[in-house]
Amino acid sequence: MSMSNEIVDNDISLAEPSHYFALMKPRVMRLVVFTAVAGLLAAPGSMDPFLAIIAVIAIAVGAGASGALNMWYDADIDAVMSRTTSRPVPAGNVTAGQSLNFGIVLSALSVLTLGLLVNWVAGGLLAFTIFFYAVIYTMWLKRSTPQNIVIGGAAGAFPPMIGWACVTGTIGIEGIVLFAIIFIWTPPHFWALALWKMRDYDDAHVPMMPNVVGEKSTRNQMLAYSVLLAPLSAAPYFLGFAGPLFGIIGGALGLAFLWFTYKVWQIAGRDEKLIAEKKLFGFSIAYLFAIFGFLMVDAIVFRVTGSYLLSSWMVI
Amino acid sequence: MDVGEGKIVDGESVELNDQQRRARRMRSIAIGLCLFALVAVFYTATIVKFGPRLMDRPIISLDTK
Repeated sequence: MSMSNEIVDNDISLAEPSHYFALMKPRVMRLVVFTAVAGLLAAPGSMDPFLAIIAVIAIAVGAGASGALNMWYDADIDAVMSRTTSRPVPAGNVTAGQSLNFGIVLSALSVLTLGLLVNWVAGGLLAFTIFFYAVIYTMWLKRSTPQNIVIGGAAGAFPPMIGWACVTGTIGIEGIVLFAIIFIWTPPHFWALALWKMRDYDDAHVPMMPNVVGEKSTRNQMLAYSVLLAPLSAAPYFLGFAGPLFGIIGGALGLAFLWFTYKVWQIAGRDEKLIAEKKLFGFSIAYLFAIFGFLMVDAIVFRVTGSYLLSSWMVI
Repeated sequence: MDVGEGKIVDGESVELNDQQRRARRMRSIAIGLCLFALVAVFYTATIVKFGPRLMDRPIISLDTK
């Protein structure tokens, strides 16, 4: 019996399902589900509700797969940054190899499920999204260019486009606009975080914009992206897949975003507590939930009543 | 040799401690549930995709000519 005590220190996994679930970045997944559902509802045409639910789950699992692949590859830098040390791999709950296997299995299952049960345009887009996030962003851009999150942000911008493709079987200008909203939103959102977590990224040798080109240039670029985002926020109305009330609310949200970024630009880091940056970061998350949330509400109203919110008033 | 719980067999097996055993059991249950869900999804989706056509076929031939 004494032998058993000697062998206790083996490499048998202590990983529990909750650790594997954490590999899927549940918080990111929540945003992915939210925007994908918005794209799915806003798209013209109908879809069997059961297949729609399967589609959303497949997209979520695909996003989770790319999260797991990211945690496999980034285990070394995750161990250095305070924000990420508690992730399952650096915390020692799951090995990097297990994370890789988990990511590959989930990628295959999610893409096959979406392709076989919904359509292959959506399945192909999901496969491309996983590839883009895991290979283009995580393996290549993240550690080599300060444009990392600009281009990598595309991966996070695909879900509403995939949702749209699930219903229509095509990509279309509308899907591209939904993509563009998140794509243009990403740099100011992330750089607001980077401005106050700069030292972290420095420690991990990740070239974020503020560390490479300086805070001034970063703030200028954030302002430029926000100027682009303001009209984009109302674009779904002008393209006809959302109603006038969405146009008003979307436009207002876009202008508010611009205002918060303007404050960051104007104060230019003179406030040591970086309150403007933190406020912008907080607002940016609220912005995304609000704009896609309202797109969803407007789409549901359209599906139930046949017209968008406020559109009957506009006719009168 | 006894292969009972907590015993070493021929010095080659590893005895799991409680934590390891619990983690493995939870992983097994999770994998089982996921596989079951996947089968259920594909089974139901197949029926959904067939739609009413699933019933739209003669069970016996009525052609008496």
